[in-house]
Amino acid sequence: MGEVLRIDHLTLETGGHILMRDFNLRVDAGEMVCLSGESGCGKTTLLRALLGFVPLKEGNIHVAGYAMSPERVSDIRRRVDYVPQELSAPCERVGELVEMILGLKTNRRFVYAEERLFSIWEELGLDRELYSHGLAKVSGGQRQRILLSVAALTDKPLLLADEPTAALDEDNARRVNVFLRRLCGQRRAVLVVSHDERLAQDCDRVIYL
Amino acid sequence: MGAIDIEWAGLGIGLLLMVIPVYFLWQLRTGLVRAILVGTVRMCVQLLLIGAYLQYLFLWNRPWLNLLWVTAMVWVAAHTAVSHTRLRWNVLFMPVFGGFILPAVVVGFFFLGFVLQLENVFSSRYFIPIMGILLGNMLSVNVVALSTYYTDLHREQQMYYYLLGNGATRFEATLPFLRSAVVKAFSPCIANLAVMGLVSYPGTMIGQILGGSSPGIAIKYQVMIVVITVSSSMLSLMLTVGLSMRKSFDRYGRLRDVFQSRKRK
Repeated sequence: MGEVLRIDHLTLETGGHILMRDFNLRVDAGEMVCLSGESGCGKTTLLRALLGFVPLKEGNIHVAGYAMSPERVSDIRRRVDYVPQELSAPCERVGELVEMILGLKTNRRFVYAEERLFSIWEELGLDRELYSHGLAKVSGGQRQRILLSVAALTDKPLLLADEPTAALDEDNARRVNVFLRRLCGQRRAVLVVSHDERLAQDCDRVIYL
Repeated sequence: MGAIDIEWAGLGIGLLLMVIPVYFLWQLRTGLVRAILVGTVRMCVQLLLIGAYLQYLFLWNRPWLNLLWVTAMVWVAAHTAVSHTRLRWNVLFMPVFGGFILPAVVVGFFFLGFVLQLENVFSSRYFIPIMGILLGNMLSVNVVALSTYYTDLHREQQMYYYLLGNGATRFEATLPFLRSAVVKAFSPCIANLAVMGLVSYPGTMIGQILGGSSPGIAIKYQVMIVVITVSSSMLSLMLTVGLSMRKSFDRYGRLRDVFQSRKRK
């Protein structure tokens, strides 16, 4: 399996406070890795740093062969699916949000069929009628599963998910774990940030920060 | 037939009507009484001074002087727009200045040169009022649109970073915010278009008729004024946002703090 993500000697700082020092990590395709640790230890910040949203104090990040730099950051982002913990979107309907993401120039190469989306929704315990629902009426857990389903429709080498089971009951959390595992079986690596012990157990490795 | 002059006494009597808004602003305890009084006095003084100045400008009719005057107007308009949106001067001033002057020049000269077919497009009687009306409209559109755009972008950063993190270009990631800014800034203007002549009689047309023009001429001018103000305002907004984007984001696409820090009391 090839290397998808490599973090070398990374030091992250926010507001003058060092969050992590000399951090190293390698994640290969087919691997599912969980970042865990106490609140405020920098898990989400690390995830955001992988997308170029947080400046690196020291060290470097490579995603799909591209080193993090202003020139290469868009190449990296085109190879990543990112599912944040929360999202408020200026869309009225769920379908609008789905179409907005899949309509991005970078995603147009992926064939989008509603039936495929709905079969993923079934797998994740979502009702297909949600598609025409108002986004404001959708719960946080549903919203995150919708974003995961959209990520599954693209075929990018790295999936980053921030607390994907935090807002879910046990049944739905189980569905998400199985789903993430299945995604990992393809040519992609999954990196999740989670406090959820069940999710951590399903991962190949757990990194405590 | 020219316009009937308003005597100074008549102007004073007319100004008495301001008692109505002042009374209600005072009665409703809005805290705006001082602002409206100061605003009215400023308006009168500024217009009197400008009126006197324009008389000389029209008399001299020098292209370089007219250009200088319009540049000063653009400077004031850009300054006002940036102040009203509470955006950082160093980030937004030059983009707004550029976003005002370019559409004013392009659309203004198009109208003066190709529509009115003036031999001298710098003729102060046409050049200055046309630039004034274009800048006035650009100012109101830009204040609403820039405020909406940057406020929404800051409030809903999650969405911006979500789209960017999923491979969107910077333009794609800011598009939802640009769209809502354009809708908010242009909706009143578009609604007004549909009822013009039925509900509202616009200023240019009224001015022309009071100035002695026939309704036919007044209507043609009004149509053209609406067309040039809407097109220049849209062009201005696109340019302002486009130019300001270079300074509002860093090389990684991270949003910079573009708002002025609040003054401590």
